[in-house]
Amino acid sequence: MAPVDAGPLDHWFIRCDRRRELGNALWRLFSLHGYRAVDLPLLVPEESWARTGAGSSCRVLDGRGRVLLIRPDVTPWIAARVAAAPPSDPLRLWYFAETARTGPDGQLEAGWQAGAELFGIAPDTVDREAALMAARAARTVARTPVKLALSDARLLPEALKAAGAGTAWPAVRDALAAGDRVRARALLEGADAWATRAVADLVGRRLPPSCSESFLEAWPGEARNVWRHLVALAEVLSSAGEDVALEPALVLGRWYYSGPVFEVTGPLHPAPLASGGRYDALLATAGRDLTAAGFGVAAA
Amino acid sequence: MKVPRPFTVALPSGRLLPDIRKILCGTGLPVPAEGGRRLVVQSGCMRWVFCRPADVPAVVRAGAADAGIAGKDALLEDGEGVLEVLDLRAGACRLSVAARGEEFSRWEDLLAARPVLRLATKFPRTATRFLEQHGIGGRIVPLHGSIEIAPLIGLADAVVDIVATGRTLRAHGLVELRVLETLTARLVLNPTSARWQDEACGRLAERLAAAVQRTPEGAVTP
Repeated sequence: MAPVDAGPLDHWFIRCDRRRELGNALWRLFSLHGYRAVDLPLLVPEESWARTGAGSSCRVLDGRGRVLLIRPDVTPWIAARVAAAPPSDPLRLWYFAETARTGPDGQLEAGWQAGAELFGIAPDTVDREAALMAARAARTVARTPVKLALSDARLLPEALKAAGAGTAWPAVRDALAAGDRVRARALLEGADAWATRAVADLVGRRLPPSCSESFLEAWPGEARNVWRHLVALAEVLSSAGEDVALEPALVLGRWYYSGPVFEVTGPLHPAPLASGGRYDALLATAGRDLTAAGFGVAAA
Repeated sequence: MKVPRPFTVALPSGRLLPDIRKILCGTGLPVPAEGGRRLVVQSGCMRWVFCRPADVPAVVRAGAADAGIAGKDALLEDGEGVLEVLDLRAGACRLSVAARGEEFSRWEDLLAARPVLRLATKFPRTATRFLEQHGIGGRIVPLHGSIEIAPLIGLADAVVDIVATGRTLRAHGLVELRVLETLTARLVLNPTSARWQDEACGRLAERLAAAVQRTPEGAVTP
């Protein structure tokens, strides 16, 4: 599936060498922290994917007429297998796998992705561990300093719900996930509740943890507790030496996040190096009450 | 190791540029004089890059520019991976479906007469998304220019194109049947620059927002 560059064969070899080098560096990092490597199939039976509740992708038929699906995402596949397995000790998994996603033109785009998934880790440490490992993996890939942007998938929906504007959330979420903050603000304009205005004001703002206390009172209802937890997490990550900023408008495109989410960037890389977050709710849909968090690292 | 470069802003050449220049002049930023044939202009502590309007999102996404000003049409077509942070309210126009006036006067008539709609457009992704979102059967005919001729020569049933005053459509006997989107110029940021050069990005956004507020209605081309 991986595209081969046109031109001299050197490109082919360089790409392969770089991937092996990257895989070895990530292997060392994750092994050092007690993560076990897992192999992920690119083609999965359609019926097993349907159980994950994730969106669809391209399908192919095998020689016996069985429908196989090109796995568009890693997390729901791993989560479904863990949810179906007997209870075990905390699991720390990592992968370096081929991916194939449908691009904006409807064409299948092949690539490589690394990442990690954590299951059954203590609730008070799982967010910290996931964010720290994402930052370490991103540094390994980029070989530069990195910055962490932090938010929570519950923050804006809870704030809007408390402000009586909860129905606006799906459209606001889609706009923010697409990076369209102009549209997100427009959707929130005109709502007369003070809290909705506060949310609209914060949509585009990035805050260092040190000035976040003064914004605590702006969040209504349950959102205030979510914000308090986020500030505490940011402080823990800062004390671990990470460069952290709270970014309320950070919304990741995946539907299954149900807690803290983060994105890691590096100065020389135009696109985010890593992103992920907490997704207990995904396991809850499969009847398992386990903490779950994970992240993907762009390894292109 | 890459050499640090000045804060770089991509500007669209062509129709939008005069209006954007008017707004930029109100920001107090070192706005470049008319570039002539120069496509990269260093002015004070900033660097300005002039590129085709449709290329601005790609230039910002790739990190070749930290920020850019792009039409909403370009962002609808290719806006993934950039942050759209401010509506500059300049260059207002519409993205619309238009068909031959002598055949159709209403959108419903066109849909009833053409169960599989052939749409000629310079915006194939946006048009495809529109068809999918509305459950309309159709086929896209991608063209690079002179879209208006497509219905006249039987290449398509209708066009999806930018309409500002409607003069071009009328000149070709076309009528606007359905508005897909209202378009204006937007400030976009590279997500990495928004975090690593947050002060410069914030200053640019704040100054542009203030300049837009000060710009009287009608001072920019509708």
